[in-house]
Amino acid sequence: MTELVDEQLMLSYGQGDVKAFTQLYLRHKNSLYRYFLRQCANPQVAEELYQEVWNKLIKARSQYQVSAKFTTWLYRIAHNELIDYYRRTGTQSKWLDADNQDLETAEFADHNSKSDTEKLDQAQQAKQLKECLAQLPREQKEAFLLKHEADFTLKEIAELVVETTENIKSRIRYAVAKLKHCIKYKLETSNER
Amino acid sequence: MSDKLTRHDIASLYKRAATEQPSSQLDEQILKRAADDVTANKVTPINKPKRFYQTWHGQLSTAASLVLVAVLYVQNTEQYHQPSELINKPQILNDQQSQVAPEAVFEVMETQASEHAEVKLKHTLKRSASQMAAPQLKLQSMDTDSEFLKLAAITKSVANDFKVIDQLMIEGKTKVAKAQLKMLLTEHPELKAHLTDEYKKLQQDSGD
Repeated sequence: MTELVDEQLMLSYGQGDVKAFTQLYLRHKNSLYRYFLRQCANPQVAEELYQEVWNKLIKARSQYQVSAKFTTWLYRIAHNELIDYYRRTGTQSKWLDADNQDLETAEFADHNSKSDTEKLDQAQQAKQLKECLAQLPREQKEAFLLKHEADFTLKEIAELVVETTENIKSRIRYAVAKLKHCIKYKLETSNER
Repeated sequence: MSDKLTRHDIASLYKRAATEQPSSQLDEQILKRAADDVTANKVTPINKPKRFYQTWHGQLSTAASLVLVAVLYVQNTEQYHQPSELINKPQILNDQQSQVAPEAVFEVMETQASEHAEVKLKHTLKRSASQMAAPQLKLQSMDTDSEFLKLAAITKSVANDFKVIDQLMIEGKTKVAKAQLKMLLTEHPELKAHLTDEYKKLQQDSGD
């Protein structure tokens, strides 16, 4: 049985088909939830923002038109909610310079550290990754999440956050580099103990 | 063996790490809100299709069909009326100003009808309508050739009868001419109203 695409489901929901919304919700709920969870210090705040995004989508269902991908529309609402939250709470200072090329100033082990011969458990690495992700600058973190949670291309991310594709490419590159260093540093730290 | 993490490794690690989900309570709240919004706004359910007459194309096609039927009816009505009127009640003009003998006109009609019955006869009749002094036929505009031919045949027959009557009158056989005229008027009583003085006098004459 062919699954309906997101846009068709949203249009159906706009016409009153609640089952279509249920399908849409189940399809995207986890990614969107983690998108907020990774970027908010407080899980409760993440839940509030997450719920608000769906509320706005529900309110706008009758006016929905297929002018872009559904996920672009969904995450644009989410992105704006996050920005508004940062402005309300004054947490913009948590940003770091997204285009910072000076990796040595970061709180990670430098690239000259001795190579590690031992492998950590993959589950542990995954846990460390989450911890490292939390330390990333906000814009790099968001770009990374939009790529790995919502499967957006660089161009789509650039359009969503109103940036150039080159900037997004740089942000993701630096995010990945920092994550590598961070994981490696944590690995070395745990080995030394 | 060095553990150099690649971009792909990072992506895989993240997918492994991304296990968090919203609570079921939160899910229920959102789904309920979605359903309540539909109920509150009373949007037409999609599983109830509109009937044909409720759709715009249904109404438009119905209106178009009615217009078409009306037009066809009016057109066909005119066609049916005109030829039947012409067949049953040929009108006879009595042109007092013209001096042309009726038999001459009918001779032309007879000749041309045998050669090119339809077109030439029509043309001749139309031309003759303005020149006839004697009983003659006036044809309304004809829509179909078949109806025209029928009328042409009747015209020809009547013309022949008058021709015969005229000939009898010339020969002095007034009584016979009167009888012929009487027979003709019996078959075509509508001709009575349009007889010339000559034929009216013949009717009144006792004859020999």
